[in-house]
Amino acid sequence: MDINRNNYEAFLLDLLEGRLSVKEEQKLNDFLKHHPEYVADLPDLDLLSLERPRLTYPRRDQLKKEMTLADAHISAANFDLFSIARMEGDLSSQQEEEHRYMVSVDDRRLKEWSAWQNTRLVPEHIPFPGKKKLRRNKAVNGRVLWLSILSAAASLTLVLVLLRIDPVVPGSGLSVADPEKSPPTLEQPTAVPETPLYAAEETPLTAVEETPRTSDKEVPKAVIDKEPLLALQEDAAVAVKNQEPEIMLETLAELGESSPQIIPETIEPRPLRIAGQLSSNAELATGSSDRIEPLQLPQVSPNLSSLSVAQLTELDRKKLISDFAREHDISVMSVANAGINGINKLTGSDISLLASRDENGEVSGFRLKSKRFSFSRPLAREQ
Amino acid sequence: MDAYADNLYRFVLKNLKNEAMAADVVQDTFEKLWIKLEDVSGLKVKTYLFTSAYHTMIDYIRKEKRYADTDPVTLNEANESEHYSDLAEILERAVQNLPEDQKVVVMLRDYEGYSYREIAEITKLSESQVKVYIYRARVYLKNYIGSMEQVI
Repeated sequence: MDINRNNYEAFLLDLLEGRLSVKEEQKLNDFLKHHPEYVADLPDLDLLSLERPRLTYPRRDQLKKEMTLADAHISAANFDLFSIARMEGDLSSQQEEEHRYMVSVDDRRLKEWSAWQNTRLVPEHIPFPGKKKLRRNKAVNGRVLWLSILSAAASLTLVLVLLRIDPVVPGSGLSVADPEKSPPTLEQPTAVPETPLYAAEETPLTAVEETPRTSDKEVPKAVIDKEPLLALQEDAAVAVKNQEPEIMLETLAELGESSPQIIPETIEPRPLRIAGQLSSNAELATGSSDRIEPLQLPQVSPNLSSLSVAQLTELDRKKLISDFAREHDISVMSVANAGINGINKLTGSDISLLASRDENGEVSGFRLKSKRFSFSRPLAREQ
Repeated sequence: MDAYADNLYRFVLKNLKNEAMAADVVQDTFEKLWIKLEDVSGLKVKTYLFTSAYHTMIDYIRKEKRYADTDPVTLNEANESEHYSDLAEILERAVQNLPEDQKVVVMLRDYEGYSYREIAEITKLSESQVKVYIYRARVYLKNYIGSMEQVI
């Protein structure tokens, strides 16, 4: 870059600050030789360069002073430091003794020490007004947890109830297990439909009796095991043979009292009537025919068999639930939904319970749906 | 919890000088504690509370634009027309004149009896800084008290 009247000052500044190369400096000198008028205006270059001041901070030593007083001894110079250190408990026993001695022999130091001690803040008790709000509310959490558990249990029970096809006894109320579809078990003894009553001598009849005492009352049910029924049927067969129109089987209750197979704990001793069933069979009841026709037992649901204690308990439980729901205006679906919500909360699942309705707008079934499964079931009539 | 709540409230109130804000800070601090309870050692609960409260308090101060890293007022700035009934009031006034850092460390030291290391942990300062701040605070408090005694 050439030096001219417009930029020579910049070169001069660079020269002062030592940024010019030898070549540039030579150029600048040549320029000034050819233009002496600019040189006259220039201040003394030596004056332009400032000397770096050599100042020394007067308390330089104090800046490096360390707070530790490990090996120090007390003096007038460090008395304040020792006083603070003593307040803070930073002195060794020997240093503290030195400080104590200095204070004791000098009233001015004693006053100083007293002033230092006054700088210690005295904690005052300021109670926090909202302590109750600070507490972790475990009670609420526990209550929520218990409610969730109860809801889940209620939901599971309800789902089980909804999934189960309850025995519905058409007509006579006499229910007999289907031997083809329901394998014989101890609680579900085999009974062969369309078997003559007196053939029961060979095939023990297990009968579940529902006696319609009055039209609207609850139907009593009982489980009667093989042996008493066998004896009972023998009596019944004899009675039929003797053409007695009805056989009052209140003796069954008596039989139950004496027999361990009848389970009296869950039900009150109720007279069970086969007679009611028998009388429903006109031919049998009237005894109009000399020939006794085989007893025609109605076809029943394959799942229907004798009622166990559990089933009887279930009946009572359902009645309790029904009464409670009616009394407290609780719908089954709302309970089920609450239970499902409880399950979702406990397990983190996303099960939803949906009600399906028929053309009349009444709930006809339900649907359990989640990401992994979905199934529908019709609503049991009694629900 | 009762003792910690009171101590924490006192510490925050003395710094903020606002009961509502102090109560909020204490509330927030305990809320954080309950959330982090699993991670906080039983022995460290108090330190955790004060650390959390200190930083929450600083946030409050900054939000309220009350945080000013001002130099302590000189002794001449003290209002000589004010009358102080006892040393506690004078000291209270002097503490309020301290810079925020010095005020906090001296309160933690005197009110709560924390060690330098604990104060450093709470305030995220070095131990050396804590010592320096305490030293400067003591010097200032002593000079302030001395000057006020002369006035009285």
